[in-house]
Amino acid sequence: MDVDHSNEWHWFKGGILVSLLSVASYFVFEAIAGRNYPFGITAGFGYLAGKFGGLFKALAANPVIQRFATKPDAFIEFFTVIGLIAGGYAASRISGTFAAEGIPDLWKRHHGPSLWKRGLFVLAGSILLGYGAALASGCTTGNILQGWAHLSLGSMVAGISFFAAGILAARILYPRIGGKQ
Amino acid sequence: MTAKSRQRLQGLLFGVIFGFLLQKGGVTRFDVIVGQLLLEDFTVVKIMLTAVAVGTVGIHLLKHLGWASFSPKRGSWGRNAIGGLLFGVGFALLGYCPGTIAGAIGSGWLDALVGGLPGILLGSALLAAVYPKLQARVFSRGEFGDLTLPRLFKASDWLVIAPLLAIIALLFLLLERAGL
Repeated sequence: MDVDHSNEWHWFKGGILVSLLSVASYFVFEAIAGRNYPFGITAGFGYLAGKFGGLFKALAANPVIQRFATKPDAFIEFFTVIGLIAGGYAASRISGTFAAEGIPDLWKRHHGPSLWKRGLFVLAGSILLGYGAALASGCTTGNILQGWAHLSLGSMVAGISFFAAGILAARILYPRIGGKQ
Repeated sequence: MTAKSRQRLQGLLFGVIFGFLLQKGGVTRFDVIVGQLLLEDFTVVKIMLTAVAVGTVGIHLLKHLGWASFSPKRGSWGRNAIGGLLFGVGFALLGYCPGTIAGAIGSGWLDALVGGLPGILLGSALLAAVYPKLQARVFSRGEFGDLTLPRLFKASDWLVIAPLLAIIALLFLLLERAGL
């Protein structure tokens, strides 16, 4: 299928601006936390999970939950997640593409308009995503955008695994229909 | 201003800019992300590899000039390969990753908001719950600490970065040739 990119920037502009933001974080965040680390996302979700987990007796004493809730970068990343929502809102408002939508076109073509079916797959997918990102200590941002730039072996393994499994799963979930995706 | 409130502002600022860039780059859309996993639309890979190429040179320049120091993440086969593969399956099912899902929520995607956000929190909590039990037997298998490619190959940073940039350039050339 052909995706319409008419409301968006050329990929080169997006890529360059993202890399400048990434490099800038090494200057800006040092002044705050006394050490250099890049911006990330996963620890922000961990922070929130830690705050919720702390409410349940069984998880409150869990060392991972405690670490999630107290890491200094987790606190920063939690606000990065809030900022991401606001940034996405601002950009889509400016482009005039903001719309409350429930089911993406490509999903509808393969799996129909059922909200329940989409909801169930979204829940399953995001549980795997949250579990996997926390286990691999980072998502696409932490392990590829930052981790590959660090030339870290762990991030290479994680990033290649993201795409290897993603490509395979996408082939099964969204097979070609009559020669077209 | 206290350190905490400076951190809050900093995190928020980077998030707002990143969310704006991701949305304008087109990568907060399910169709674009799944299009990438189906190898039909290469927007995600093109933005990602441009940012990685410039970022790698940028932060290593900073490091060599003594302007910044960074600590690579610690990893193991047990955590990074298993976590990475599970993440990948979730990536294809959901059609967003943790950063792009937040941007997608902002641009109005209700599937991301209603199912995605609670799911990610549930997944993180689930990992925390099983971590102490599986840490020794599974997750710490094949520990490689904070090893980086230059240390693995016993080469200087730039000797690793140069071929890496060449591979990325070659990939862009091939994509261009294939009309993708």
